[in-house]
Amino acid sequence: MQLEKNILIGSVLALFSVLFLSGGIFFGQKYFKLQSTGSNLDAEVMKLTDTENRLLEVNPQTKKIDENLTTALTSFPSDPSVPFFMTQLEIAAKEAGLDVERLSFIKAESQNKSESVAKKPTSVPVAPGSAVSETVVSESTPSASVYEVAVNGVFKGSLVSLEKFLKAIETARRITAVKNIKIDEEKSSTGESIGFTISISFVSYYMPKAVIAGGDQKPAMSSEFNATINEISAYRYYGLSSIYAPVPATSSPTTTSP
Amino acid sequence: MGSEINLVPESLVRKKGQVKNLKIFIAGSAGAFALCFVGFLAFFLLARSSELEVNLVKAEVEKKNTSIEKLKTTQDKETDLILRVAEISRTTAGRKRESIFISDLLKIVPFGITINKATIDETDKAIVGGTAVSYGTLADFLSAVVLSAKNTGSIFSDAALTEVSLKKDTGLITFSLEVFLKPGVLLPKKVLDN
Repeated sequence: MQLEKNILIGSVLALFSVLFLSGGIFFGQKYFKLQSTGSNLDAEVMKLTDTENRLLEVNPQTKKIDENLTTALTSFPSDPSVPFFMTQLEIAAKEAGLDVERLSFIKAESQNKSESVAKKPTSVPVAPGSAVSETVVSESTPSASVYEVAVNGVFKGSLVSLEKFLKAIETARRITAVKNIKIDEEKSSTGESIGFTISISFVSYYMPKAVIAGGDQKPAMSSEFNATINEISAYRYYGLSSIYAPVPATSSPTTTSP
Repeated sequence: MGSEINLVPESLVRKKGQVKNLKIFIAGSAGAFALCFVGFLAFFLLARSSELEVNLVKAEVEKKNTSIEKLKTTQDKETDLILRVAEISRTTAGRKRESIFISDLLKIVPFGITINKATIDETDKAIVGGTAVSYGTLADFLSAVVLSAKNTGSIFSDAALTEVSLKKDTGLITFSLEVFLKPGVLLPKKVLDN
């Protein structure tokens, strides 16, 4: 009886030894695998830390960048924003004393349009004071394209009102250029002058988000960057909500944050 | 000296041998068990600690990736801002201010001249039409443009009559005038300075 009991104990010990051996092999393999994974991850962490440190240099300016980008987007939106453009024209005309007879959206250049016609390479200045010079955009530099939005307007009013209106447009946040102005005197049935009919072709611009073609290369900041930001910040913002608000008595330009 | 006589029964001798073998088996099993258990425990603990360590590093990688993603968004925004502002600068620098033309024209129109037509386009020339109460008034208007042209602050460079006719019914003189502007005079000042 004692002998059989001892045989059983020995067998159980042998069995458990096999089990623990298998478990040991399993966990051993797992340990060596984890060691290798850990080394790889450590290398990755180092690499990521480098990238993070490099990017952190930009980080303190995040708030300023966001503010400036918001301002820049009201001057050059990332999409045609036709209602915003037409609202600006309508409010500025009304405030200048012109009657808006008609405002017609003509066209917005599209990104799908042939590049030679619609796309203009961006002009990131290469030298101080070279804001107007065109820079050749290489494959590896960030590129951007500006597209035009055209609107025609017919207004009625005096030449003084037209002058006020043009001044307002020139200092309006959404950058607008006048392509053509045609002024014709309007006469009553008795032949008396009752003002002018003024037809104007306007063009505004939009710029889809810039695409970085060659990795994370940052474009050079123009020497006129701060001056431009200050200039457009001082321009009046004609928000969409303003169209429903009462028109102010004076048309002195005021800056309204978007 | 006679040979030794084993008095132990043969069955007992066999049993003794079996017991001895069994003892060796049990001792071997116990030794193997102890060794395997210790080995198992050691690798189990090492694997567990490595797993925890790897999980920590993985969490750090995850955290860094999130942070980098956020920072990259800022960098993308900065790139977009720089390019956008460069375009705005270029566009505003090349944008004409037609209000100056209207303003300066109204300043030099003499009494007796009524402007009833004007066309302004992207060229440095505008067409102005109107009526004058007399040829003298029209001449005054022309002189005003030409004299103004001599002034450095003026936007006008010259003027040329393209059409003059007398309306019999009203006695007014209808005219059309080409007004030439100094090149780039309607552009913002900063561009002229450059």
